[in-house]
Amino acid sequence: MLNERKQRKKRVYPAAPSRIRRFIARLSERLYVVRVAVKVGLSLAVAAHLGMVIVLPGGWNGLMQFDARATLPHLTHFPVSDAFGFADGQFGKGFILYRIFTQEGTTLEGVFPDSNILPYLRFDRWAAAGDVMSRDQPELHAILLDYILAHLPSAPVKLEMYAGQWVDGRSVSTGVAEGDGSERRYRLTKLGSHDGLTRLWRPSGPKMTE
Amino acid sequence: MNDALRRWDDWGRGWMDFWFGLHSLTALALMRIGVGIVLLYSLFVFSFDLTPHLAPGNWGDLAILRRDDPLAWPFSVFDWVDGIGWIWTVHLMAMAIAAAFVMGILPNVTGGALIVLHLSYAHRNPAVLITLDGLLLVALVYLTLSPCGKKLSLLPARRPKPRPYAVIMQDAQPPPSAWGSLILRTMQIHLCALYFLSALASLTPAWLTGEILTRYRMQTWENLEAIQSSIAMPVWAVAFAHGLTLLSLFYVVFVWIPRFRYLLLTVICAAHVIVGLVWGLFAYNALMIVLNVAFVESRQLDWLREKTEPFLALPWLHVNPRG
Repeated sequence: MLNERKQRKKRVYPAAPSRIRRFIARLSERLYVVRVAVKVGLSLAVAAHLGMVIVLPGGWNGLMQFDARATLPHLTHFPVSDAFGFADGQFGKGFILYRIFTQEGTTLEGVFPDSNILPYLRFDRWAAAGDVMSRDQPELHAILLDYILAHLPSAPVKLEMYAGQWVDGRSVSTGVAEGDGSERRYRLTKLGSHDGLTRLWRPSGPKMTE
Repeated sequence: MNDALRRWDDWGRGWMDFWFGLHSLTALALMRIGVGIVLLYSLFVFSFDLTPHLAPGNWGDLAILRRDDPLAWPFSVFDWVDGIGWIWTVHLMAMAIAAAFVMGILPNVTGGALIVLHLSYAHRNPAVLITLDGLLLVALVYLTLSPCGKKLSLLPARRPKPRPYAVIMQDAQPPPSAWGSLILRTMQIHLCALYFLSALASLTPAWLTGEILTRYRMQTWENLEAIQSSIAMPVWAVAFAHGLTLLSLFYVVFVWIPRFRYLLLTVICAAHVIVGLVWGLFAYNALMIVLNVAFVESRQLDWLREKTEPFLALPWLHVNPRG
């Protein structure tokens, strides 16, 4: 390439940058601004999102105790009361108990979830299932009955099913070592009974409590 | 520049540094491995009850159980397949993808697939969802969006293109990954909020009297009779419950103070280990320990990795030199 002096002597002048080059140069100058703007926008969006999630974690406001349906509850899911895994759902607030009167005249007692299931992670899922089953859903109780009957070696004479529900029996103000023992920490509700002869499931009313 | 402008400038720089100034791809990579292992364990344990929980015609009617699902379109891959054999195929595929995620094989792709599969389990039978699932999903979403595969990956990282001034830049601090930094910061804040909300939610009689710690996990008729007869709570349960609540409440403050950060992380990890081992909540607490890695600085993690590499025989793990 000729140096500048020779270029001038030959009346050759460097061409001005083309439109495309000028456009690219201007764009790259603006790109920095765009990049910064995107970063600011993103960080503000994330901050706003987290703020919203804290206010409405998965549709449930832990501070003000009200429930609101979230659009995408799984993506904004914010587990409350379980930083150590002691959530009520984890333990299962409810569970199923049943009594089986066998043809041999003995009485077997069982719990759903099965207390012998290990490891604990497996038990947790069954406990969650037990919690759902213990709610007031008679259709599910009838299906569970079929499941239990299918796993018994012989048909029983009678089978009674109960729902157990944990209740908070104490208040903070009661104190640790006090208490008159009158508080109940679980409540049993009879769900129904199965007659082995007629093979009929007779659900109990919701008010039948043992 | 006048004072007001300078203040705004400082504030803006501080804001940008806070969100985009972290150098911690090692933390993201470690979290990817930890979250992947917990997910793999969860899937493995699920294998024992795959048929009762997911196949039609078992302990519960899937249609009735799904009435409580809050999503308008509760999609599930398991609805698109028919028969036990196909359910097992999808399940084994999920485990293989989780293993690939742990090994850092295209974690952004495998992570996305894991999110879809994880939601598929949740929507197929919402009755067996536990809190671990929610936390796993949150962690998966963050890690999938992040460049967590740039370190501690089984696949060799792409070589950086030769750039001018490479010699000058060789000894300089590697440039932070702005995107990775944003994700990591979001995870940190999310974790703080989780502990804080957890502390607020535990201000209940069941917690503060220690009752929740002494409830029998394995209910039997005999246990229930015993519970009915014993009302008084042991003092250790009350003290431990109060300790956990205080720890969660002040986590959000002390974790941001460098002087107290590692002390707090040590104590909180110890608490998670105790709860995990004594109460059997092993997987959940392991995941919480993994998520706490977000607060450990990268240079300390790198130092730890360099020291432990020869003992753990990990030189086959590829490290991106630019990371």
